[in-house]
Amino acid sequence: MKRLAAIALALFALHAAPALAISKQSGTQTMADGTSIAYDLYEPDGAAPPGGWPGVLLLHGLGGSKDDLAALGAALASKGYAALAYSARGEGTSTGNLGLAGPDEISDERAMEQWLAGLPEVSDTQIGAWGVSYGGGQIWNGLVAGIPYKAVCVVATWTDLYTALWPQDIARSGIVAGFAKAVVARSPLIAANATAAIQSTAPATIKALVAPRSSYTKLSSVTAPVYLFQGRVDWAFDVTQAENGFLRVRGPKHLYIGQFGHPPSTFTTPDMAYVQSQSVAWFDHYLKGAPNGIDKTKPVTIAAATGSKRTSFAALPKTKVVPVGFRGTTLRRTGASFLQPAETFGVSLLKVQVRKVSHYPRLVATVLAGGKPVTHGAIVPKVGLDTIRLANYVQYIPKKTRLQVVFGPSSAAPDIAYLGFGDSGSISLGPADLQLQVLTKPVSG
Amino acid sequence: MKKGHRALVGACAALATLAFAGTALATYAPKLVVSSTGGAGLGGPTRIGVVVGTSDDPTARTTIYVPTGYTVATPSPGTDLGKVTATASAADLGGAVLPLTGELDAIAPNPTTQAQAQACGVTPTQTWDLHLSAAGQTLDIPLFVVAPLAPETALGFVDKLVVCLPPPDVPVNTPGRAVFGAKLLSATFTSSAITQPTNPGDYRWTSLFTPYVPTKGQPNAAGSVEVQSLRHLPAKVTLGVTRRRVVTHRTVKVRGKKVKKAVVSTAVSFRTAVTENGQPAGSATVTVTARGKKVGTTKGSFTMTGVKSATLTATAAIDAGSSVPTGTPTSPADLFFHDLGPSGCVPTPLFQGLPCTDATQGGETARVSVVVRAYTK
Repeated sequence: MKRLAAIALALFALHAAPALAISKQSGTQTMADGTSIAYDLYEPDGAAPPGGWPGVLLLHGLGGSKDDLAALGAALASKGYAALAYSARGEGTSTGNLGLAGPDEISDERAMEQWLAGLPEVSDTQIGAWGVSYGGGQIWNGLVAGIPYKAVCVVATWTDLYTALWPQDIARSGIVAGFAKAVVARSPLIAANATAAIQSTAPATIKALVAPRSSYTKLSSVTAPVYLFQGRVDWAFDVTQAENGFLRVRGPKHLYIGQFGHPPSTFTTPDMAYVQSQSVAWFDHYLKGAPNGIDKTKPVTIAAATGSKRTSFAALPKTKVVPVGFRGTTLRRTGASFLQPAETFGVSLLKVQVRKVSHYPRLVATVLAGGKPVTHGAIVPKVGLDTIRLANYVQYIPKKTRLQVVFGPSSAAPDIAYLGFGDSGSISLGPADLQLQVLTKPVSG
Repeated sequence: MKKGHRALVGACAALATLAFAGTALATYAPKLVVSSTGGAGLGGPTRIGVVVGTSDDPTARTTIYVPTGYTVATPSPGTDLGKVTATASAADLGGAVLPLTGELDAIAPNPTTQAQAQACGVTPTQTWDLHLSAAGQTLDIPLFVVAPLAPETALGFVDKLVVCLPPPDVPVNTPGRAVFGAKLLSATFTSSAITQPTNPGDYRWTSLFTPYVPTKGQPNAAGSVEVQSLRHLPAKVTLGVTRRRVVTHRTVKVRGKKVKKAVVSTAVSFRTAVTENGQPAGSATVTVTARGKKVGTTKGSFTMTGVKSATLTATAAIDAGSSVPTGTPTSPADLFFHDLGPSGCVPTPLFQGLPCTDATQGGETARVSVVVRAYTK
């Protein structure tokens, strides 16, 4: 995860021809509780403009450090920004324990924002933030906590951590385990809760733990311009996480749904160059006041599954429901062939009749097309008609494709989002009906 | 824990309470499964699976004995011998079961594998590599092909396959601890270098599994168990078909007049038989289809009307009651088996009284098709 983020951010450097010579200064800031936060400050050389350089805080992903943001920091400095990358507490060479974007991290974020704004060569007011994954979540949390950012860009992140990683009270265990493993050594909080979080054995505890680390319920207080970048297929943070942010904030907003993301996607996709150019344009407009017209462009853009085609919309795109029946009682079933191509968008529902269940703590449904996972979801099965809310990924389904649904205690290969735990229960299922949410007109193909 | 083990531990408890304290609560019930990928006939690549219970002690070492009749070739280093799937319970990942996939490769020995062979106490004639990956992480487990000792040859074994695994349950940061604290739960691999016999017969594979003493990282030799897998080759399904001409009449109107018209159809009856090395199969599920639609199981009948012929296909899933876990829901590509339990296990004298705890019969899919011509007049 950390390596991918570093590669992704290096792409920024490739696409950002330095316009200004820059300098880098490294140091540490001591927080109120004594924690030492390591930072790198990238600034343009020469005299600052009247009012100072606009500033941008850069926040890295989980298990990463300020070093992952070196290329981005240099690129922004070359464009006339004072870019401050810092390692979150418990990460890199910063001291302290990682608190999972909790109150301590927000306090650090506020202190670093104030320190940046207080530098004589930096603007007192024109401070923005750019963060990926864990960093993006901290930016959302900082915004709703009142950090006075003038513009932000959040990439592949969450607005509601519980629904992202524990939808319907079942952990996306493969993802949660990967995240936990990345930071457990420096986080007593994670160490104490990892097993329950991965195995979904204490949903109330986990819900209480992550609720204050989610911005969702307070997003309507956000008036700062926000550019959301989210992956089409991101098993950690699906499109709904960004949609919720986009719909609830009250200031200027843009949403780009691209090809990058956490597994099964990567952060090395060609459209990361577009993320960069849009980020810079967003900061240019809202921090520098540049009349570049980004505020006039259609606010929602979706990249095609492959290639460079992008389709923009005036609002979230319209969708329709395509019903797909899965008759029978087996755990692996095939539906009818699609007469037309389709592209998923939105939360699809899979209704399945559960006839008998014994020691079956989680029922995972994986929807596949041509052997490739399209979406997935899981529930604690109960006898009766159960509804599984499937993750919101943008997946192109070519014409004549047959969808397959596989039920089990874990997701079906090659999907590793939901890992099992060697449970040995049994379940008996009846018919299943999928209500697949698709774009009225595909953007791919 | 098996009933017999409990009795044994109970009998020894008075004499050696402390000595057995580490193993008294332990359980260890591995399974060995041997089948093929070449259908249910003779010859073709061999497919081997192992299964260990989730709550079993971690496995330290497995030695699988290849019986006479099978041949083990010597492929060049770099040869891809077949697919591998495995599962491991990762203590560092909250006990999640990782599905691992990859391939079995013949490799040239290198300093790492040589050190591993030495630690494993073997002098291999060949080194193969179970090259696995999950979520971008790769894991290489050497599988050593070892020539049998004279007493092993005398008992009819042509080669041994030896795998040694690192301890998963020792404290984090202990040198040699398994990556992620991963305990192997199952593995299935195909080797094109191990060829099934070309002669019909009954073949008994055996193996010796040695667990670790829990949390100590020390192999528990006294806790070793023998497990076996049987092959009765070839496995076959036969399909007997009888047909009968059936004439019915229906009344149709021709130019306003009622006319009686003969309709010829064909009543088809079929019966299947599933055998392994000529004997009725112990466990089989048969499905018979005609023109792609299911028409029965072991026996049945149907009627053909308006067609010239139909292909009748009997598919028998033999010894397919259970499958070697892959970490994902069961699929037809999995390795299936029929568990015979301890009663199917015949102790090998070589192991000097170690418990023989389980035997399986590897699953196969046998298929036969017959074209049935219809009566048309």
